[in-house]
Amino acid sequence: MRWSWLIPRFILVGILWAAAALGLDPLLRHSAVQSLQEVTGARADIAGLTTGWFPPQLQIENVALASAKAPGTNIVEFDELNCRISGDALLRKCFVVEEASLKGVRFDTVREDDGQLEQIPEEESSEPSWLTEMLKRTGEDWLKELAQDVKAQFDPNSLETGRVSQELHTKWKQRLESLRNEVAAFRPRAEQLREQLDRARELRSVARVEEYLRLSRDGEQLIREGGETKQRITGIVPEFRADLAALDEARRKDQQNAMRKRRLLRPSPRRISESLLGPELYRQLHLHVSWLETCVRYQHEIRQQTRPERYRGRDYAFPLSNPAARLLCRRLEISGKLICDEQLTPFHAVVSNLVSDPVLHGQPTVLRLKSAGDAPIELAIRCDATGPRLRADVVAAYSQRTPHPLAAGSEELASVHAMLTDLNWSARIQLIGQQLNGSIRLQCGLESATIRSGKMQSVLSQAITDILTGIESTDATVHVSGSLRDPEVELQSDLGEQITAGLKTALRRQVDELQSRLTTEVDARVADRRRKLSSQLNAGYQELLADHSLTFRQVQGVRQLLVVMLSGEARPEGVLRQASESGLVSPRKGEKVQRRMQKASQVLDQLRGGVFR
Amino acid sequence: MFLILKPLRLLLRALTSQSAPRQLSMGLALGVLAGLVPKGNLLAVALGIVLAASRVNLGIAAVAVLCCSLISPLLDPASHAIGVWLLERAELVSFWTWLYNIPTVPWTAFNNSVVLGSFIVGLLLLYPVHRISRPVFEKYSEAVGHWARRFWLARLLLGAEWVSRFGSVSS
Repeated sequence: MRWSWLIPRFILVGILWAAAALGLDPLLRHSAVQSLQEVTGARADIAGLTTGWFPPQLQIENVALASAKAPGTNIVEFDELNCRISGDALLRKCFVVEEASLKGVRFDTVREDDGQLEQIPEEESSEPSWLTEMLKRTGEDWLKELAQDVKAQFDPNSLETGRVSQELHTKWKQRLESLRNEVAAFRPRAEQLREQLDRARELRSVARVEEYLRLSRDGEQLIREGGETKQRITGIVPEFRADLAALDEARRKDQQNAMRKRRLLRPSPRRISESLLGPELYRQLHLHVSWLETCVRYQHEIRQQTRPERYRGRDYAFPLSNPAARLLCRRLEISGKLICDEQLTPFHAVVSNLVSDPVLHGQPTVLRLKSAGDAPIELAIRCDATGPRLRADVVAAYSQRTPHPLAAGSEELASVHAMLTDLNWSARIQLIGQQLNGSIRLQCGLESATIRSGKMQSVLSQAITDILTGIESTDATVHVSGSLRDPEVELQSDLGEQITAGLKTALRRQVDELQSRLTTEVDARVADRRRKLSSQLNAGYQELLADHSLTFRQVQGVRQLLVVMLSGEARPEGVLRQASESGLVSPRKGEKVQRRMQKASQVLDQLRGGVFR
Repeated sequence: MFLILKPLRLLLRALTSQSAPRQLSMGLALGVLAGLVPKGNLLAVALGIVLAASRVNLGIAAVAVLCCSLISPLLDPASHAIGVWLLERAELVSFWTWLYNIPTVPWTAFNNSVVLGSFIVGLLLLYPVHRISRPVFEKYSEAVGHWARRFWLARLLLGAEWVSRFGSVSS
């Protein structure tokens, strides 16, 4: 055998061996780093990756996955991952991990660099829309609304008495104004009639008579209209009395309503519970639902990760005698520490049947987690995608020994502060397809309850403080149903009922006081309004009558003159008297005329005695 | 200098040995076959091993693998059509299934239409390439050898070969 043939073959074998021994691990490490960085959107550090062939195994050391949202921290970090891979399955291009162990797992650890990649990951909302909506709803402050209800229901300005009296005031103001205008419009017509009478005297005899006749008709018309106006003026008196009766009726209703409102003033227990315990319960619900969402996503992602290497062309799948999923981890043991109740707590978890093709594998993926310490956690997640619809169950029970601060309400008006102690959570939520169903229950103690009130009445705030101090423990359950994207959530708790019952008692005394104050206020307001209305109407009424009488007399005087003139029996004394009484002639002029008439009479008497004797 | 030149000399010998026209043409044909098949699967590795194990000219084979790897994407439509035609033949399905169930065979990616098609194209080209290229190598290999000696690199390597031979004679 010639060396010239052997040597290059040895070199080739050497190159292949070197590539497998030295190049495979770095290549796999690089691929793993790239894949993890794609998933997390931040840096992934893998200190070492070692493969073994006999038997096939994989060992990864010191892995740290940086957080894209919190620079300088790791989402998760672990010391060692050991995988024992099935050689037989590997020959058939399937990665079956018979057993794996993940040791030294820690969450939210600090890293030296910021761990960010150069490209900016897409912004993702940390809270789903339904949670935002729920938290917004719980933000609607029941304390504020209660105080506003008390204020609104016992506000004198909102009473019917006030509304009716305001309406009456406006109505009578307009009515008097209208009558004044009517009387005022009557006066120029009377003036016009007198002027026409004066001008008629200068006419010739036939025309004068005709004018007198026309003026007489006009005068009669004016007198008729004046009578109607007077009827309208006098007719307001009974109407006004009826209005005053209506005002009294409104007062009576207000006083009855004040009694009824006391019974209606009862805040909703559901809203109180939601305001106080809602945020914490909804966050826990969100946490559990996000685990379920992870179950749904993982099936898709694991399939994406195990897709065959992209060749050009098309891949054909032929049936295998022993069909197996491309990726299967029969058992993965995880141990490490997690932050629970603000303390690092050791935990141990086992994941079984993590598989890329659950239908083929025929067994569900199950995670069981248990932690040690004062506040143990027990968590089981079962994800069954073997059927036509994915079915996932989360069962959890855990405790929080560290007191949890509770705050509800607004600093502007009033806010409730308390400490929830010995929190015991239990959850059971099921997801079938996209439909959620389940509940989370919280049992806890309530301590150090205080109310910080800014504008709230001290009686009310003291009442609420007393109630909260009297509550030692509470029980709340949040039920979830509906779809994964838009779940329907309902909160039930005895806390709201306890507070409502306490408020009912506490508010009784305060409401009685408010009611008494309201009754007095109503009486005083009605009396004042009656007085003002009466004086307003009396003054207007007298004024109207006086104006009307004056004008009416003028018209009547003119008409009398016309009647006398038309009858042809016009005696100077009678005409003068009519003119004076009707105001057609001023008193001074009347006296002057009277003197002249007396002189004329004397002259006539002398003449009658001397000339016609 | 000798430490550098000695590996180069060995490489040159490996590449230039088996330089009979028949071995040159066989190297070219096998290189075309290995070059056409997409890399990254066990079939390509197996072809490489066969190539290295056979008594053919590795220099020519390496050049052929490089060139054919570059042009093989252009032949993908034809390879894909052939692969699809073969993989979908009803009478062959049982054979493919049997093959797919043999351990390690799935790593060859024969179930990919382009891999199988290009492999078949390479196999079909094997004999024609050998037959056509052999007279060409017979005619031009001597002339190419003389032409190459004109270059300084060739002279250096040949000089090294001469020194080595001198050293072995003297020892």
